[in-house]
Amino acid sequence: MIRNRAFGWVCALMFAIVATSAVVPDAKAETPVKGGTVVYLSSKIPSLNPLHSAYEVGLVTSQIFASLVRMDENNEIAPYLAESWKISDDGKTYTFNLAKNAKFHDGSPVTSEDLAFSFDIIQKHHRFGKQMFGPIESYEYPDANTLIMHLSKPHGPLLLAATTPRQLPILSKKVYGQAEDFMKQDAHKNPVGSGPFKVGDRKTDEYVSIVRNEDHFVEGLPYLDKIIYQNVQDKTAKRIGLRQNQFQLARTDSVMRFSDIKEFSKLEHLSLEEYKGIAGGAIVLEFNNRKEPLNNKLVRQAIAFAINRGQISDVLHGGFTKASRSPLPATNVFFNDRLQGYPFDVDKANALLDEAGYPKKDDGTRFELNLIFIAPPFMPDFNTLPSEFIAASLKKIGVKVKLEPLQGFAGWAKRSAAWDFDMSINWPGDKTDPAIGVSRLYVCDNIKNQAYTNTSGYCNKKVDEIFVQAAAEADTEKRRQLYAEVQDILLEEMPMLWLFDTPSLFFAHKDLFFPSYGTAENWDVMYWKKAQN
Amino acid sequence: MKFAIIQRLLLGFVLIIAVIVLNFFLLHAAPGDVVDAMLAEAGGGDEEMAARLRASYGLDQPIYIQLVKYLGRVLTGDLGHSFYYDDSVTTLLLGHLPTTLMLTLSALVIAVVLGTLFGVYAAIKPNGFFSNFVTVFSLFGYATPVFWLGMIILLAFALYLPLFPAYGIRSIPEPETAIGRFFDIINHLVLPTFTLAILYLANYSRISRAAMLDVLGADYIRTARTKGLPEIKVIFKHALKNASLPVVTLAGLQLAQVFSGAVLVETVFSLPGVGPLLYESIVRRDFPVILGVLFGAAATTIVANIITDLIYKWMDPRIQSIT
Repeated sequence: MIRNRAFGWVCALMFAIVATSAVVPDAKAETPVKGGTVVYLSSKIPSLNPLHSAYEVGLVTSQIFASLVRMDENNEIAPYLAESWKISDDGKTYTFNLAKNAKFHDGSPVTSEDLAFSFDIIQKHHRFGKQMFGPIESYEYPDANTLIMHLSKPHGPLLLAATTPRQLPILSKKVYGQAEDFMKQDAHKNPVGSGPFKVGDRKTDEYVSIVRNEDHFVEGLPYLDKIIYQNVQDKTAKRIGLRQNQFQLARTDSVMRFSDIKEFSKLEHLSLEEYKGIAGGAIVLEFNNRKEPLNNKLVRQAIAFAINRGQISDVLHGGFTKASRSPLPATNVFFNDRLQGYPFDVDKANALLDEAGYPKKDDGTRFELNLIFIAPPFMPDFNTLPSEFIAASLKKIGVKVKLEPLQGFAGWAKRSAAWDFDMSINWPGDKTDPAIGVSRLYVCDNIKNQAYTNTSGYCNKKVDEIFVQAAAEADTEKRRQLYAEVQDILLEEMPMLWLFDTPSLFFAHKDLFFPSYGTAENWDVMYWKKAQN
Repeated sequence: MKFAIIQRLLLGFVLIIAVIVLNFFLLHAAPGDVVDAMLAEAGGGDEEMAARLRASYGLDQPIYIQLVKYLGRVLTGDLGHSFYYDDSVTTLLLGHLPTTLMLTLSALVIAVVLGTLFGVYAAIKPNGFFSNFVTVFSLFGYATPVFWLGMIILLAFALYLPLFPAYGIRSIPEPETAIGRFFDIINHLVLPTFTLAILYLANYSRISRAAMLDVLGADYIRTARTKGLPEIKVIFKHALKNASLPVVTLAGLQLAQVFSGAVLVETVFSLPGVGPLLYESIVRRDFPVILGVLFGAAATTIVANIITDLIYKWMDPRIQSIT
C-alpha cells in the first residue's frame, strides 16, 4: 500500500515535471542552453589539414580554427579575431587589431606575426590563395596585437575572403612554421587553432570529435560542449540513424534526394533548415564557346530559351532549388536583384536557331551536341536528372543531345580540362566573392587546361576590364555597380546557362538552434533550446 | 617440404612484383589523377597550385620513373604516402585491417562450420524436409546480391526490430571497461558477419552435401557400418573427413579474399575496414592506397594457398608434397 502511494507521488511529480517542461521552453524559447552534444552525420574526414579538399574536413577545421573576421546575422562583416580594422583611403594599407585575449589551443597568444604567417601560407597553398590575398606585399608589426599590411594595389575581395576559416584559418607560426611543405606535416593529425573548439579524439574513417575550448576569446561561446562527426556511408543506415535520433544534424543531400525530403520532414523530432548565408552555388550548363555551332551567340541563347528551368526546380527538385536569374547565385552579396534570367519560350528558341542558319533538316533535327556530367551515384539531382531533362527539352527544338556520363570528379575533370565537350554540367561555386569564384570562369587570361577555369573559352575584353576594375575597387557600392554591369553583359552573351541555384539544406533536431546566416559553419553559436538528456 | 615452401614463397614474391607492375599501369591508364580529383572536389584552384601539388606527390615525373621509385620503396617496406588521407599507407592498412579480418574470418568460420553441418545433415536424409530447405536456402544465398541482403537485414534488425546498431564498429562514447568494449564491438559485428556468412554458407552446404552423398555410397563406409561402428562415428570420422576436401579447397579460396573480399558488406554497415578504404581511394585516384591494398590482397592470396596445401596434406596423406 505504501509502495503504491509512493508510486502515485512519483507519477504525480513526473507529470508535473513533464507539464512544466512542456510549457517553459515556449516562454523563453530563445534562451540558449549551455552545454550538450550534437552528433553530425558526416562522410569521411580523411585529414584535419585546414586546406584539405574534402568538404567535411572544412566543417571540422572551421570550428578548430578562427577566421580573422566573420559574418553576423545580417550578413555584414563583423569583428572576430580582429577586434577592429582600418583601411586607408587609397585602399592599399590595412591595419588589424587582434583580440588581446586570443590564444591558440596550446596556450600561446595569437600575435600579429601569426596573422602575417597565415596570410603567407594561404596565399601560397590555398586553392584560391592568389585571388584572395595576391596583392599583399609587406607587413609591419608595431606590437604583438597590431598588424599593418601593405598591398600593391587596392583589393576588393580581401575582407570578404577573410570571413571564413575555410579561406583564412589563422595558423600558429610556432606549430605550422616548422615543416618544409605545409601540405605534408604531422601537425595536420592534431591541429592547433584558436577557434571555439579543440580536437577531442579521432578514429580514421569512423569519427572525429571536437570539444569546447574553455579559453575561447569570445566570452560565453561556444554553447555546445561537444560535436561528434560520425561517418556513415550507407544511405539506409543514415536514414535509420536519423529516424532513431542518433544524429541531430545532417546535410539532406548526403542522406537522400530532393524527392524524399518531404516524406522525411514529417518526422516529429526533425526540422528542415535552409542555410541563408552568403556563399552559394549554382549548377550551370557550360557551352564550349570555341566549337561550332555553340560559338554562335544566337544558338546559346536559343538553348537557354528552350529549357524550362522552372520545371527542373519546382517539379523535379520539389521546389528545393530555384531557377537561376543571373550569373551570380541569388545569395551572393553582389547579386543583381533586377535580373530574371531567360524565360521558357520554345518558339523563340526555334526562331533564333533558324536565324542563326541551322534550319531543321528532313528528319526534324538541326545538329547534335554531346553533354558530359558526373555519373550516378554522385548527386543525381544535380547531374543525371538535369542532363536528361536538357536532352529531352533540346530534342523539341531539333537539337540531338548525346549524354556522356563520366566516372567521378576525376573522370569529369579530365574531359573538362581538355576542353573535350560541347556542353558540360558544371558546379563552380562563387566562393563568397565574385573576384574569387566567378571572374575565373569568364576572363580571357584564365582559359586553361584545368577544370573550373575558363574552360568554356569565352573571351570578351569588356568583361575582363570590368572584372579587373571591380577586384581592385575597395568601395562596395562601386563594386556592386560594376558587377551589375557584368551580369547584364554575361546574361546577354550566354557563355554558359545558369540552370538553378543550389540550396544548403540541413535536417536539424527541432530543439537545436541552427545558425543559418554567415558561412554555414559558425557552429559556435549553435545551441540547444532546451537541455537534452 | 621446407624447400618446397621456400620455393613457393620465392615464386610468390615474383608474382607480387608482377601484380604491382600490372596494377601500376592499369591505374595510370584511368582518366584523371588525385590532383584532378582533389581540385574538382574542392571547386577548383589555379594551375600553378596544381603543378606544385603534382610535383610534391611526384606525379610530374614520367611513369616509368614513378614505377621504379615505387618498387624501390616497396622493397624497403614502405608502401608510400596517401595523398588524400595525409598518412602513410602502411599505417592506414594496419588501421583498417583488424576490422576486416574480424569480419571476414568470423564469417568464414561460421559459414564453414554451419554450412558443412547443414550439408551433412541434408546428405543423410536427402529427401527430407530439411534437405530441401538447405537446397532452397543455398540457392537463395547464392543468388542474392550482397548489398540487397545487407540492406534488408539492416532494415529488419536495426530499424523495425532495433536489436543491433546500424553502422560503425563501436559506440561513442565507448564503454569504460575492456570487457564492455569487447562486447560493444561484437554487438556491432553481428549483423555484417551474418550477412557475409549467409552468402558464404550457401556454397559450403551445397558442396558438402554433394560430397557427402558421393562418399556415403562408397565401399569403406559400408565396411565401417558392418564393423558395427556407431553411425555418428561413421558419418563424422570416416565419411566427413574424406568429403571435406572440396570444402577445404573452397575455404582456401575464400581465405585468399579475407583481405579485400568484403567491400560491399563493409560499405553497407559503414565499417572502417579495408573495403571502403579501397573504394574511396579509387574514386579519389589515390594510387598509393589502391596499390597498397592490392599488394596486401596478392600477398594474402599466396599465403592462403600455401596454408590450404598444408591442410590438404594433413587431411589426405595421399597428397605427398605441396609442390
